[in-house]
Amino acid sequence: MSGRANIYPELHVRSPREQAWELFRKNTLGMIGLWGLGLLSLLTLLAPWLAPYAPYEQFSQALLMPPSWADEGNIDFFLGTDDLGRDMLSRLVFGARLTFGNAVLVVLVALLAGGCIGIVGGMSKGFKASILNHFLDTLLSIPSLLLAIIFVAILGPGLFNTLIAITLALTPQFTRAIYNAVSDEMQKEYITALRLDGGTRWRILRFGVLPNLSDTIVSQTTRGLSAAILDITAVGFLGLGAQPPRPEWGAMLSDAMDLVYLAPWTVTLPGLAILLSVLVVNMVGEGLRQAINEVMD
Amino acid sequence: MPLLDIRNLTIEIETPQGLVKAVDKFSLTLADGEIRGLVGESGSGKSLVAETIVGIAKDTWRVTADRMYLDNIDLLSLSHKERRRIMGRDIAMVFQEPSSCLDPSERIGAQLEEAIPERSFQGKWWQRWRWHWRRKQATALLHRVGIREPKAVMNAYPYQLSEGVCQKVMIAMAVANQPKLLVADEPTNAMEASNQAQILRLLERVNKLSGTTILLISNDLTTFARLTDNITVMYCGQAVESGTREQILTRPRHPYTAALLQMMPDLDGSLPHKSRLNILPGVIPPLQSLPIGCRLGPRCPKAQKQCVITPPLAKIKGQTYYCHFPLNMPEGKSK
Amino acid sequence: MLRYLLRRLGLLLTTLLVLTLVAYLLEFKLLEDAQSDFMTGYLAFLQQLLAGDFGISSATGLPVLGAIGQYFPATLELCLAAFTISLLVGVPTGTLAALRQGRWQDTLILTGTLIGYSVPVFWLGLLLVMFFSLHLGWLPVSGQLSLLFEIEQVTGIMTIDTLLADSQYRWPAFLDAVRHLILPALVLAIVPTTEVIRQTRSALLEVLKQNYIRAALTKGFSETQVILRHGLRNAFPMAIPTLGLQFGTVLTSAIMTEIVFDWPGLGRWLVSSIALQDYAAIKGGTLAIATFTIVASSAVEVLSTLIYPARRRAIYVRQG
Repeated sequence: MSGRANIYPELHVRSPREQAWELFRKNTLGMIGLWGLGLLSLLTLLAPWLAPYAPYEQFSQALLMPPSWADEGNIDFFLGTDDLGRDMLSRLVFGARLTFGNAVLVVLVALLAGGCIGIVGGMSKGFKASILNHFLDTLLSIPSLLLAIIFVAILGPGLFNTLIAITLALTPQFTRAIYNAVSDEMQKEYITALRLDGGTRWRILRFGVLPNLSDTIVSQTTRGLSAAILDITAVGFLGLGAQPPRPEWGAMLSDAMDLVYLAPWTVTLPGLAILLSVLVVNMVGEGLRQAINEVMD
Repeated sequence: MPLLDIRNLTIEIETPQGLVKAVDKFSLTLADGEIRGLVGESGSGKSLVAETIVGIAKDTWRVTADRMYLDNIDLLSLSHKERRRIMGRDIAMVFQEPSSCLDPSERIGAQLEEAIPERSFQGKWWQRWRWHWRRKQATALLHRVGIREPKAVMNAYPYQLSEGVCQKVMIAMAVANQPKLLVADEPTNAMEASNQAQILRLLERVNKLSGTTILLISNDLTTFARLTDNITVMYCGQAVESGTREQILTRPRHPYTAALLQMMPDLDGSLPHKSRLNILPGVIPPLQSLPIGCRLGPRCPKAQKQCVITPPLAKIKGQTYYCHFPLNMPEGKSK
Repeated sequence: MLRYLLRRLGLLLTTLLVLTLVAYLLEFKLLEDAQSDFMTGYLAFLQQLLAGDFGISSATGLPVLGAIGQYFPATLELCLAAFTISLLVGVPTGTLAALRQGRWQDTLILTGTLIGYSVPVFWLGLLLVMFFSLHLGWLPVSGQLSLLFEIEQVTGIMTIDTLLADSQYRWPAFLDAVRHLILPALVLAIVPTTEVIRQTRSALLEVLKQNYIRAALTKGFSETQVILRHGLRNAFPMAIPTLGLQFGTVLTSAIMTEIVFDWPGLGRWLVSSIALQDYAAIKGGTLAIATFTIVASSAVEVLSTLIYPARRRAIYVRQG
């Protein structure tokens, strides 16, 4: 306790970060989301050791086997098999790498690129900022999925191209959010005070602006992550992303479209996987946003 | 028969640090037709008291009182809805920062007309269906609060008006239904001196002309002392002293009142050059760590061992105070 | 006011210009051998666009503009239906959540929006088809109208066309069109509805904190009266611009929905054009969707400014 000027030593004043964390821990939904997110990350990292079979292994004696809790199910194939006799559980676990893992990568790249442009744009004024503004408005007026689809159309179908396309489509959102946060922050009085004190641009950025960006970054990252998962699977579903044998969840879904009536689980399960992973991301994001907002008030 | 009678009002606020007693055993009795000043530094709980009286307490507050009567009506026993109705009929409030208290998306006229109650209608019954009686009355109200161009103001949006005019409009809205009690919470806060004087004069006129009782809340004794009949002083959620204006200004019993009076800088040059201002040592304690006993204790120049026990209510010639060692006591009576 | 409108119009035109530039870059990149001079090529491209020449589809050999005109109304119908549903459901729900802030109703609604926000649209569509069409057999699986009916295309919006049709089967055809519309519109409405709920809730909560609400409460009106009279009216202008941005999201979801339900709209056409590598169609479709989004969200913003004076003030302040 630094308490040199603190006349009430029994009163521990907590930092905003501690307060936010404290609030977040009390949020049941947020904590469930955090555990779910941790579990999902674990699945992504340890897929080869956790999955019972290889994702492409075909069991010709067990085609279209329903999940183990159904009457015809078999515990060897816990979530059943698809029309080629591949184990659904293994495919879903490996799919976590392709869908969730790639989404994380995409968001990190977009955050870095968008953050840099946003900070530079937000700190500058006049013509340069105005051009950036208009350009961003235009890019943002095209929905990110549409933008991704267009980029895929230019680059050609495939998972790698999809990832590039989605990164390109998400970057403007990050740029926009961070640009707005930085330029809002730059308008505030304490920044003016810093500038009058003779602070250099770097100093203003490092000690004035950056510490106040954390809530923008947190909320934009979780939002971007859920958008990335949804976009990757959507492009996969359209048949423009990961190509069929690969167990990307969206591609699995579009692969199983014809089996809707025959084997509903082949449609339900990948969708459920997408829903749950987006849901845990959103739960964490929502919890963090709430906590940060409450501390700010 | 007092108009408003509050005994031992306690307001506790839920905070992340637990329950905090923001107002502790506060008592207030308002006679019909008086102007009462409620003085205290910011954070002393005077706004909480005002908001409790007009019934806009927040969900996180726990309000308890032994007695809370308005004109023989027990406010504590009323249902939420009935209380709302009584508040609308008998009590009005004027806030600080008036421009933020007017709906920004509606013209002043419409808001003023909303505030005019149905029962204030005077005229033939068939005229009631003609909408413009409200408009006429609104114009008259604006005239009464000293606005020269009522028409223009009626058609304006709040952001087009200055703070002073907004406050006049607020007062017009407050007096529209001829309330028995008008609560004014720092009505001249952050206003220029000329506006301040106008608003205070206006409040005085409302009191004199329609006999409205006014509870005038401020953190500054100087500006409105001459307006009031009686003054109550608050410190840290407790009423420390209460009496007539003369009593408080000339013979304060409580050290805090005395300190408040000394704090007003004299401009007659009696303060030597570069000497310290007359202020109490220390700072107002945060609500989480209030001292036990007399809350002024740690800052009081006269504090003694006994001050860790909450002082009882004492009364001399109608002047009440909570202090073990009062000042300015007549000979022979002091301890 | 006029100055503001002109400014906004200028902004809109600039944005559209940048959009054409992006579209041209797309073409420039694809046909690198076409023109060597960038600027003259771009100007020629602009001239073509202004003349309404969007190129010839390589798949059908027909003008792209005609195809857009043919497919756009179906998309519009779907989007309008979804938007109506989202407003009808979202605004009351959001208001309820704000009024019951922190209580179980609020928690329930917020959890619901969180799930609604996370559902992949195409999967939800498939599930609903599985349940309502295949399992219960209540609603048709796909398409815009049963093949039994022959309806002349007037506006392209099927629910209107069936009513306009001069046929004895007008009503059955209309009902059939509505039945076809229900599932896709519901699926499409999910995302904007959650957004409307959240925006209404947070805007209303923001407004309820303001002093004028507290001041209005002291006048003796009930909470409900105050919220209806002063709360919503100030909350809407805060929520509406963000709702304008929802057009983009709705259009994206519309692409997915159209594919799942085989709805003959722009999105399905665009994706099939991508599959066929029909670049003129891709370019045209993209331009059409993006233009629609930009114009719609600008229109919403201008409208909300015209209706709500409090927003005008922000403009005055910005203009100094």
